[in-house]
Amino acid sequence: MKMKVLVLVLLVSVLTSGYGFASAEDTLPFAVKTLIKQKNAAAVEGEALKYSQAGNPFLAHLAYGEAFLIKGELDQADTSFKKALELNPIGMEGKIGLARVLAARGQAPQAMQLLQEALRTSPHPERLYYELGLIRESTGDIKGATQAFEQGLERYFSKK
Amino acid sequence: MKRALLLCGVLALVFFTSEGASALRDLQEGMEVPTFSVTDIAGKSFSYHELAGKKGSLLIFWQTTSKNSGKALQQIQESHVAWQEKGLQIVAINVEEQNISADDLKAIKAVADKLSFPVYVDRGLVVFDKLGVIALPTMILLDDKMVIHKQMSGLPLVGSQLFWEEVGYFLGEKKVAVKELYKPARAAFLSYQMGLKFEKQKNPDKAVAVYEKAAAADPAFINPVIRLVDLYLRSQRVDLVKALLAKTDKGLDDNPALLLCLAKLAYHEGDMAKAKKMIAESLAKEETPDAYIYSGFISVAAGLYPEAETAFNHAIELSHGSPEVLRMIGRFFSGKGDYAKANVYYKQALEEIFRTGGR
Repeated sequence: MKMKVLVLVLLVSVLTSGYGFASAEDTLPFAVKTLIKQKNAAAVEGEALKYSQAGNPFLAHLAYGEAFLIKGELDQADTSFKKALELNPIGMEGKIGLARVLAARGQAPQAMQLLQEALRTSPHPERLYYELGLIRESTGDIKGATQAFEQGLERYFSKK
Repeated sequence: MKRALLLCGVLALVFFTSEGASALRDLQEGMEVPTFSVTDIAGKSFSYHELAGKKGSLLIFWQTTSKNSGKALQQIQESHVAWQEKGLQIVAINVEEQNISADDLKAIKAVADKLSFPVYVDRGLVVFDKLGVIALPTMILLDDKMVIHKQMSGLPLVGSQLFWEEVGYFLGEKKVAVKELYKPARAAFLSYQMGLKFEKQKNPDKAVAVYEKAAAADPAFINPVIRLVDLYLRSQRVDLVKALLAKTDKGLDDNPALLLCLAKLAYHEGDMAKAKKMIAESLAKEETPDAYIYSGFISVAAGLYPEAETAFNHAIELSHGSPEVLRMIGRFFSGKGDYAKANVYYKQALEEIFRTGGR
């Protein structure tokens, strides 16, 4: 029985990796996030190209989405994040990207709703609370942003 | 995680003696330090093994932005020739940042150029975390077997003099007077350890019960007092803090941690003048993130916002950007209704968590 389970797990893992599925844990490394924060679109695009060449379409779409977002090319950003979400429907990164596109389009309520939905299932809500806080802050809801950041920190520290 | 352990060490001030605080989170005098390696400014490697077997070694962990680090390096510089002649190896390990930038290296080199003993850089703060350094500067005197002979954190006025004297005795200088090191009563120490476990399990009521036992078993043992003060204040029991501190051993009057406890009490009682005085005395003996945080709280209460910001920045620097420290400051502003300011610190805390791999 144990052997059958092991074989099944191995099979699923081989198949999913072969088709470029990403896990719920995948996220852009901090170095790339720093480039995003610095709004360095060209460098982020360069990273996206590297991911693409390395056979990691999920991270490539995420990085392209971020680069488009920096450049204000919101439709292309939306497409890239949707592709990332298709590759990893259970992960939060695609949803965060889409929420940021919505916020950039001035659709903050929809962006927040998307993040709230993701919060129901995410094992790592800190990032989602952080993004939620940023969007609330951008709409002028400073106290609401504080609450979101506090919830994110509370969730992180309660796990430790 | 590393940051959590760091703050735990900073706040708990584990193994406090009546002379000062333990410099390291998990290591005590008599214990061997784990192997480590660092690189010099140019990137050349230097390892633990190059010190093992030598008569003795003095490690100093420092940072360019810590003013007491500069003073400590200067004091070592003044004595190092005599010490080196007696067989002491001096190794200064810079713990500037997790990721060292070109500007950091420039600043480190500027300090190193004025010193005639080697300066290394702990890239990634690996050794800093491995040895559990909890405050800067930290000095560790090791024997030939790399066993800790003496350690010191911060640069306490009295403690540092004793530490330098101890280096001299270690190298064979004649001992003028021997001062017995304080060791807590066993029962008190065991209860204290149990309290730390309960706190880790997020069971503050049980922690309080065993800390109270520890404090009663040895009134000269400061550690349980420190933890009790924080736990009582968390539940707004200023009366209990007052009663506890009134019972503390008189021999601890100069202890920086006790001075900090007294400052916290004065702050919560609204006696800002006394709180300010106690904090200044505590910081003069030892710089800790906790003391700087309270110094910031007191400055905010007095409307001195630039001073508060400076104090908070010191706390953040000393703790290497610990999310716990940033969260404490954010909570303070949130509690005051200054949500914009709270968000500044909360965002930094979350970003630090993401940066160090916590998503």
